[in-house]
Amino acid sequence: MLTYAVRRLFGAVPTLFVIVTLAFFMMRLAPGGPFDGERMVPAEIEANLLRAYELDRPLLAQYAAYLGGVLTGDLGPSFKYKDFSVGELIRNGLPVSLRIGGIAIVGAALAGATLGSIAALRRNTVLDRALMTGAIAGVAVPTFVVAPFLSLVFGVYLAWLPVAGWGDGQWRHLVLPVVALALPQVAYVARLTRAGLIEILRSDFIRTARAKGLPERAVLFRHALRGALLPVVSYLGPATAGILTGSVVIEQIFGLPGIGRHFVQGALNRDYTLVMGVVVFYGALIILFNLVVDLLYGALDPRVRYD
Amino acid sequence: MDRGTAPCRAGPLLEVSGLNVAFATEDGEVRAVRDVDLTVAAGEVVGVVGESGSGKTQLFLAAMGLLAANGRASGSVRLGGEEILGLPARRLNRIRGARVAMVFQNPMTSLNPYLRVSTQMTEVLRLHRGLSARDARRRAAEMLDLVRIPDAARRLDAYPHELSGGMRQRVMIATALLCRPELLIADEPTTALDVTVQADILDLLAEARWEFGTAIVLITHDLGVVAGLADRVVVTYAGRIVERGPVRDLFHDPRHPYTRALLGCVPRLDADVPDELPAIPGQPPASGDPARGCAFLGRCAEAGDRCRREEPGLRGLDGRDPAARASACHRDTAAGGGP
Amino acid sequence: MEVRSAVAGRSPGADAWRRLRRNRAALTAGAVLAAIAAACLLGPLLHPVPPGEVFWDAIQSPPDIAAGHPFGTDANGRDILARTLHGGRVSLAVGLAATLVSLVIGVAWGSVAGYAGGRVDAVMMRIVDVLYALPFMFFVILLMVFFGRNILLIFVAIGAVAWLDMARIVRGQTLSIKRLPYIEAARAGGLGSAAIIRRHVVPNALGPVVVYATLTVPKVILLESLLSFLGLGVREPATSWGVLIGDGVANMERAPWMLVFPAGFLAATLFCLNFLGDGLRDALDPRDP
Repeated sequence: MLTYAVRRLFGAVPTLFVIVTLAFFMMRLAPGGPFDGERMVPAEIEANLLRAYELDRPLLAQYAAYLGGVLTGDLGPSFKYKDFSVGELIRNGLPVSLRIGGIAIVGAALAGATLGSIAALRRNTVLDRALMTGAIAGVAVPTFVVAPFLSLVFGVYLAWLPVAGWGDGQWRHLVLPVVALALPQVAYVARLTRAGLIEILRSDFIRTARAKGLPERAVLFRHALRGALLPVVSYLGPATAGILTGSVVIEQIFGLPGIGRHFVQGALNRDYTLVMGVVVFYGALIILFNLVVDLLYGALDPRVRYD
Repeated sequence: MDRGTAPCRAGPLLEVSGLNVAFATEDGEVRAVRDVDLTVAAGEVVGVVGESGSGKTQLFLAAMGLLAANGRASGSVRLGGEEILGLPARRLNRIRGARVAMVFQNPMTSLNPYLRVSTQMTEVLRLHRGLSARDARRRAAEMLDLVRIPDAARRLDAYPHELSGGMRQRVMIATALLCRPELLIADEPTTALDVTVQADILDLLAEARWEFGTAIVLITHDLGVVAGLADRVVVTYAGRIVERGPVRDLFHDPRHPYTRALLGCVPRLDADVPDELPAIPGQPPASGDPARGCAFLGRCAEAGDRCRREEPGLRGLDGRDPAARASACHRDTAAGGGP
Repeated sequence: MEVRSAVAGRSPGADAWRRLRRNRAALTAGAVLAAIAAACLLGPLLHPVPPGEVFWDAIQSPPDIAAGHPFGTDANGRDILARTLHGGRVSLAVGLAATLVSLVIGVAWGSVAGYAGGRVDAVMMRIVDVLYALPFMFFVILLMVFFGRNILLIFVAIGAVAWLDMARIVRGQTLSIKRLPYIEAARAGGLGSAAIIRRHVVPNALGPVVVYATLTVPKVILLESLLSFLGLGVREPATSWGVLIGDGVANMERAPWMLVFPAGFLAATLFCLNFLGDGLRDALDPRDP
């Protein structure tokens, strides 16, 4: 198991490397510097600014410096928020994004697996078709359509929940964002679970379990579920990426002070270092999560550990 | 190790009457088993021989209540006098694994890859015998020893993929025998295994019968497998029984053309090696239900007019009881047929 | 485990077509999709109102068929029906174009990797694996930020991140097809690798490719809408559903019709595309009754 983990870890390094490199070179190769389009800056001051931000050094040296910075957690200063470093901005937004994203992914996995299992067990009934149609809708309809609708219905018309805002993180402010964020993942996990469970229930070893006289409950929970949920575990990696992507939209719509919102502001302001820093941070997060998921998969499927 | 306690019964252990199994498919109804009567006495070994698609497996899956979702069984199946066909799952579960056990064809896929061998074995004992985890584990290890798996205690904690095919099949047999069932149904237990391992598995089954008094139904397409182990043989074709009888009778005096052809296909040690391996030309009927006439028609060397018009019934041979010795062929004059 | 009867052969294509025709839901989705596309394309004919024209006497007014604004007007007095149809043209065009880009890259990459096999295949697919871990949206946004927001770049950028799935599928197909006897025959007949790929491999991988292309279009439209919603996509005077939805959200409480109509069109289009793609996939690869 240890070799498996180590091998997975080594596999993750190149990916992170690619992300950082891509981000860096895209930024440096972009036409126009970060200071273009602002008030005309006299040549001397511009030279000073360039030196201060180390933009006057040769490209490869900058690259090396940036790499070094990433390893130590220094993602450079924000070009637009003059007093803040990118690292600080990310740290500011982290608690908000973490809470919402964390609850969303856990909730999505549980809800999706449950609904998918129900659909599989009630295959081809009205309930199954309704759930699966709902699932397609959940996957297809974008978050930035669902979220405003939820806000409109529950916030404006019914006034049960706040329309937007973070308000110190009380649970009422979390409900709509988490639901809107989790919905597409619930839908996808439900479909995966349903397909996985149906497939497993057709297996020979399920027939063996029944032939042993095991009650259907034991057949389902002890024999079928583990194999059926493996695709869901695999999906948790891309699911996290989806949650991160979605959080950008959700934080924008609900006005939540998270990392995603910084990202959008940075994109609109052409704050290169901030935007890059967030991409690198999220990339590292996704890679880390994928690693955890891989290990989890290895824990559940004994065949994988030994190849 | 306690000896088997199969009670002496007046009637047969397993009694199948008029069993029909049909499947609802996209292209209409497929009848896999047609009007089958079969008995198994306590402690005897019955070989059920036929090619794929003959219904030999579905017959027993129906008896165990393990048919696929689109399958329907009708008729009667009695175990020790009790009707078990159509029983609700709750009651069937008390019988499955405890009084009747089944071993399946492919040990590769018939064991749960995600669970240890110990889990898959002890659950049977804990369910049917109420044993504690520790006792169940001990009994399981003893059984693994009995089926000659080396290093049983360690193997108990292994996962299926860590075992060879032969060992997996032994595990399956061991699991099936844990509750000393009265009947063990072995569906092609050796088909997926190497020839060298086959003999071992068959020996195991023979031992189980002597040790525990377990009756065995041995389903196979391989006559060689049946010869050494079975007391009686039943030959199936296209969902029906076409011949049955004591094993010696069948091998020395096969009466149905299909049985004769099957025997002809088996290369013999005491004969010259033929230039070509004999095979039976043609294919069994697609939907298991011939339009008219005998199902073996297209492939039979002895077919006559009546064979085209009328499906032959199973008739007693030489004046004997049809349940003991019978064949379904118009051409067999001793069975009351004619040209 | 279910018993299937052995029947006389039927071509898999005919089988698939029959299954698709029986799938009422998928066919309905296809019809709705066609209706939406037709409406968007024929927009200027059916409702000859320029999307940019300002109606000073009807600023942010609710839907009113009599007044010629069935979907109402936005905060600048522009007719929402016209803008929705125009936005639809843009969104659908980006969807198709970006899918085409991803198709070309994906099919080329996948078929070459699958056909070449060995080291080349391993390297090419490793690249796909590495890229797969990255969240597409972020990189497209980076591209938009750094290189500006012209429409050509948008669909190249989106297509450039959406080809990965297609490459995997095509590679899988190529691997199976490669082993077929008539490929051997073609090679023995002296046909070069490129020609073999073009003439034999690609046409046979078509089935799954069509399915995945149909499923890629909504993903791509979604990505473009997301960009536009955030203000990073198409720029004025062009508009797309994403832009309209963004405007709608900003004015949600006072003028919900600004949100409802474009959002409804987008949701319906995405839903139908996914449904149709699912139907196609089930028709071509029936696993599940």
